[in-house]
Amino acid sequence: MAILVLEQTFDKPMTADDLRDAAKRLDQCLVAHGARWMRSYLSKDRKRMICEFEAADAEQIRESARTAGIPFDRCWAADCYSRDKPTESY
Amino acid sequence: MLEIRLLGELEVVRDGRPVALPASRKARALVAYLVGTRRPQRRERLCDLLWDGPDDPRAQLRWTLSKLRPLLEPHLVAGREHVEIATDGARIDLDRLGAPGNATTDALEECAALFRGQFADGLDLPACFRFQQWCTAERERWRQSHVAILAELTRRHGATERALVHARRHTAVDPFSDDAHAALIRVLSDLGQAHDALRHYEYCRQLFERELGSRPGPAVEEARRGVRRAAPSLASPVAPRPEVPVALVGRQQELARITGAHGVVLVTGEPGIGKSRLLDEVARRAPGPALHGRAFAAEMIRPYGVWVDALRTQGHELPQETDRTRLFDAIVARLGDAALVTLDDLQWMDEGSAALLHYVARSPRAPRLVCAARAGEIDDNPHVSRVVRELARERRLTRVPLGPLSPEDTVTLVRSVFRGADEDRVIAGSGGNPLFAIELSRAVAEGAPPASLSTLIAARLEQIEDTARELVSWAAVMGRQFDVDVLGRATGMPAGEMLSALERLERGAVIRASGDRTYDFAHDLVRDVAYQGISGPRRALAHGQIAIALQAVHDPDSLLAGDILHHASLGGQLQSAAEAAVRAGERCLRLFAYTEAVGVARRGLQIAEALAGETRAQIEMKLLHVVVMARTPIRERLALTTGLAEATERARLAGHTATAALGAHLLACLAEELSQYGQAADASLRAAELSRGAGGVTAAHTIAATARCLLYLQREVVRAESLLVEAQGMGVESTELALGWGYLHSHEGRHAEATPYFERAFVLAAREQDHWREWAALARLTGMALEDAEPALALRYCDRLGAVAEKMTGGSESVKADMMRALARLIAGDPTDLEGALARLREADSKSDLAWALTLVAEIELRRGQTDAARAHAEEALAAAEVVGRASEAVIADAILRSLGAAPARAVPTKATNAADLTARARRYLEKETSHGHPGPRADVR
Repeated sequence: MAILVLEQTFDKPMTADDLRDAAKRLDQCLVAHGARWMRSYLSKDRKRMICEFEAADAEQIRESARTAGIPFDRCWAADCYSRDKPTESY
Repeated sequence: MLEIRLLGELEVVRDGRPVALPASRKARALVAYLVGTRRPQRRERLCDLLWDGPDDPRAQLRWTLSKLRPLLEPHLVAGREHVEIATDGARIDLDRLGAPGNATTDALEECAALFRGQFADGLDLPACFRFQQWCTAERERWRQSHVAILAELTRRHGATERALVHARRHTAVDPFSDDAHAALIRVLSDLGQAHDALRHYEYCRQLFERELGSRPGPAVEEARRGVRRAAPSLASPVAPRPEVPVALVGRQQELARITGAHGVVLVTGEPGIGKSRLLDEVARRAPGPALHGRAFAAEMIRPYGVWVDALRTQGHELPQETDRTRLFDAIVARLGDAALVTLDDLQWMDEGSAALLHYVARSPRAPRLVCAARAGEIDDNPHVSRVVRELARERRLTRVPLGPLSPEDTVTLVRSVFRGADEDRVIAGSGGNPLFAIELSRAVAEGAPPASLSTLIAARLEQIEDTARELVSWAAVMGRQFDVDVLGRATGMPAGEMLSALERLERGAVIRASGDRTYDFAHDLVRDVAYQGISGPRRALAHGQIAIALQAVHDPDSLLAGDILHHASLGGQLQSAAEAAVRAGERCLRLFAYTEAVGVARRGLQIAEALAGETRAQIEMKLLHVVVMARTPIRERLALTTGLAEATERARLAGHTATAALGAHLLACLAEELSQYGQAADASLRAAELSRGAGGVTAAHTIAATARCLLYLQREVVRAESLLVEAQGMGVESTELALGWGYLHSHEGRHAEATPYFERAFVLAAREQDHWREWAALARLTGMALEDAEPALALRYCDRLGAVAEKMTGGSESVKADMMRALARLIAGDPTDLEGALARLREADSKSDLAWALTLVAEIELRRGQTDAARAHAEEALAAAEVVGRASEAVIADAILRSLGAAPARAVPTKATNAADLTARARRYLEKETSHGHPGPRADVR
């Protein structure tokens, strides 16, 4: 399972309802692929979002987003370097 | 010997001593129901009646029974299935009523004395519709009985003071009976009280006109004509009542505790003990602005009601926000510079207010919170009791129980009300309850015998003269707080008359001005007594009139919907009540008060059961809409939605298309929610199953989409096929259905059959500007062309692909289009762009597309004898296919590697142990494998 990052920008600030609806539709598709959502970072002005998923590849996320009708800027596989795992390095 | 009395407020007496019943109204209602029906009742029925809600009704029933058992031993029999109160050996007042005609006058007097009030007085539970209906019916039944007894007694006593007592009672209990009023007028006249007789006639006439819009009948007119003129008696002037004292008496210790406390303060005590007065004092002493809010009886639906009041103290309104957390933050910000917020009657707080209370208590910048509640009644309210417990656990709560006033303080209090009161009697009688002490001292000063607090209040109310008395009744029906305009509209009283009556009531300390156009009752108990003093039929009429008056107010935000629901349902206006439930529910949704919303919808659905036809269907669907949209845990709401599929079908068959469409939409939303609630692979199937019940367009779409999804992922192909057939049978065309058939045929290698479906899907998708599905259709057409080794056709498709890819942002479509183009050129003999396209596809991280492309490449290279390249590409294909679980590509890559003599690879992924889930292409490789040959040139591809 790989880490995938999805980038989204919105013209208007996203309301909580919109986010919730989008998440529901997306989840259904993710589940079919065997992928899952891990976390999201939503900007304070609510116009930008970065989501992290666990999936086999980026296309699974893209396909899910497409099927769910969710627009996005790009999606890419990633390695995660974090404070919690100091042994990993670039 | 146990004695149970239901004709009036519920009383239980054991061996001559009264038994203290639990404060919970539902507990008492349970006793009343069991004794009233005199039959064992199933536990389910009792739960349905009184505890129909999300909080484990059976547990609440058990808890209530455990509290009642010691009080009603040994008569309370609670088995596993049934519960009853066995009345042998107990005395029930209901049993002692006989037929009036034959009994002796003394026996009749005894019977009349049994009626201390209405059946199960005060046990109103408007939120429990079925119980309320039963109670109303029982009340009517016993009222008729009472009326018969009184009529007979009046007749028997002729023209005596005794008859007068019964006659007056008769008109109170049966206010719209001509005979009752006629009898009273006759008795008054016979006793020489002509003036009073005529006054009563006037009162009767006005009453009938106002409430029934007609004149009294001939019996009354005849009685009036028979009134013997006598010398007019001087009307005794009504002594002006002194005001309740302003200075707080006693409670210094409690005040000190409150000022010194940190966290939330909760003042508790019995009614009349002075909680509200204490809150007022705390507010007065606050170092800065103090906000005040009060919760009303649980029947009213005012989400965040207390907080709305508090904000209004400073002229703020509820902020508009997009979700609950932001709403709470905004409210805390608006509470801003207040030093103190006092909240009264917490036991009636709704779920939203309770959650907000917790939130405010934990905010660092929030003002101090001082609250008051009736001890014991908090237990009836699960939301509030939970918040209180949690605050206590977080050590953010200080409890300040209010006990009785000391004798010295009682004396001080009483002296300020009435000089010369008999202090010892008052102290003894009132037991230190300030309200009781005040009422008692008033009564004693007038020479009335000491009695219970409600009797004292009732006696005082009775002495108020006619118009004002009328107004008190109306106001009591409206609730603890009432608006002057609505009151005017409901009663039809001319403004001048009403305002002077209000003034008199204010001076008499019955009501208090609490805002521009609103008044409050001086105390809850005053309102309760006034309300209980109104007969059943009058109450229902009054509630109905008020509902009508409220509906005439311009109310764009549906602020009054909750009140209208309350009054209309008690007034028997069921359709108005159900419609108000819809508006109130929708308002609760807008304010994110989801628990309230579901509660209102539940009530609305119970009321709607009594309606019929299309109206009922429409209202029910709108209420179900509220239920589906409310974001409380889905498990709790499922019980309410069991009828949704049927209701939608019924609406569809009856041709109510709008209702049916709403129903289908709701089923789809529900299916979506449930699909998260369930588990992975067959989530789509579950959704399809659920929406099946709806019939119509949505089901067809959902089922087709499910099938398409499965075929795209090459999973559960057999089932997907049957779903396609089903969707097809519903006769609704859709892009998903066309794609589904296309994928199915393509999966089975039937490319010629698949092509028209994909072309159709493309047209339908283009119509809806659905670029993703346009792409999906074209991509597969291109892929089939490549698999069939038709590069020219493939390149033509690629041009169309490119055009669609340009309209899509963010994805890998252009890269994939390039890949297809490179493959077409490779087949045509030109390998120039191949590695570049593969590199870009790898970078885009689309492993299933990569695996498919690589198997195609490896096949071609194998055919051309480029074995090294073929091996490398096949290995990469296998690796990629395994990662994303593409069994078909893995099988093909593995077969290619074996034919190159490469070491037998690790086991082909067994995800598709089902052969049907493999594409026709992959299956051909497997078959060739078993014959141990090289895979031959692809001659048999159609």
